[in-house]
Amino acid sequence: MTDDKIQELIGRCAERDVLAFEQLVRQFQSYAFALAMRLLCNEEEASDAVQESFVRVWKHLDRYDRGRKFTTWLYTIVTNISLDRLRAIKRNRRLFSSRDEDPSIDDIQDERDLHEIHSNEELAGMIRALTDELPLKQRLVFTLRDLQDLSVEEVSEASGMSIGSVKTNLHYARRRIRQRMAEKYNVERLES
Amino acid sequence: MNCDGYRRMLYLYRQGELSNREAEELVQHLHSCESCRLEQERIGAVDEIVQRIRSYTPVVEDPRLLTSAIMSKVRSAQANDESQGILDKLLDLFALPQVRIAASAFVVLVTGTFLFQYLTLFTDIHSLELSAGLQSAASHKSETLYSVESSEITKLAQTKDLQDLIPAGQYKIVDRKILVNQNDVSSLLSSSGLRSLTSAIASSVLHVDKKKLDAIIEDVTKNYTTVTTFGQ
Repeated sequence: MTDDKIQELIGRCAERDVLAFEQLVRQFQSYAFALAMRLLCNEEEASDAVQESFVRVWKHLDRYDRGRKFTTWLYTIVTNISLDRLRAIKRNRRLFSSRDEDPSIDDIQDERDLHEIHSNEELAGMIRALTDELPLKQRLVFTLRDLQDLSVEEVSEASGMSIGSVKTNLHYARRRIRQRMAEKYNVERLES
Repeated sequence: MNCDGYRRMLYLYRQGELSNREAEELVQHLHSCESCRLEQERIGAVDEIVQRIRSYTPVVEDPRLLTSAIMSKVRSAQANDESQGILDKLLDLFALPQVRIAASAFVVLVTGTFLFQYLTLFTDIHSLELSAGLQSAASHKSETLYSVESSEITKLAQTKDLQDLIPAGQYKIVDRKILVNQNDVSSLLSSSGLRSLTSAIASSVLHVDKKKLDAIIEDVTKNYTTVTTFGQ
């Protein structure tokens, strides 16, 4: 969908055209789901976060700055909602400790597991294994930049952090992941 | 810059993370530092794994179901907004000066009408009470003293008091006697007139008991007594 078409749809949505909004949802729900899934690592939670995000988009469309990319604004909303959910999940996990059920890097049996991903579930396991022990900011920046493939500027906008803070957190996140991988597999160079 | 600084830069390896100048410096350093080159290789190995994870895009299992769930919530939110919107519109409307003036005038009109009706009704009731002789004893309190005899009503009263009790035109006063027209006797006795008179006497002369009053009324009614004397 072209930018003009997106802006035209947003214009109609601003006039409370529900059908136009449905087109917008169809166009962007996959992007939103991908981000929510990578952050939350749980299909049900991700689906709920996407629903909540689009309701927020509908309600606050008047706050959308047409000068910004719609996807960046959408990412900001999905990120905030996913982070709230992630905090709640972590709180619950602390309250009702279920560490045994959480995947960790130790759950990856051998290096072959690192090569192929065939389902959302496998992906969730992999991401959780890599990022679960990271502080929330590092996890967020790493997910947005390295998994969702946003630019540093987009990460900064979606996370509300400065570019300097994004780079610092990114550096710490990557270093921590590398150290963990090295400890577990002595990963130096994988055969592709 | 020492190796720690360059290693920090090594972790910012993707495009756009280092400035051109930083990238050039790093490349030059890597040419001359084997330990940092080894670290770069290790980082590269992890990056390959991350790239594999990145290349898998999470899939929405049932896109139509997700769209439908989203739109259902959106419609529900819209319905709430609309009901909220009506209230907001009313409040917005009320913010207009002319609407405020009209509303104030309406309130004044309604209040005025209510008060007018209330006062009219109050006056009517008062008139009815007066005509029915139901005024309180207090309003009759004066030096007037009423006394009662069995077959005729005698009283020491002021003419004005009597006028308040029996409608004008139904009697006249001659030589300190009340003369009631023969034609009016029946209606006067059966209506509230006589009862009013006796009630007024009762309320003023508190020691006159009701039985006695009723006996007087009965007596007067039976005999069509038309003459009542009153003293000074």
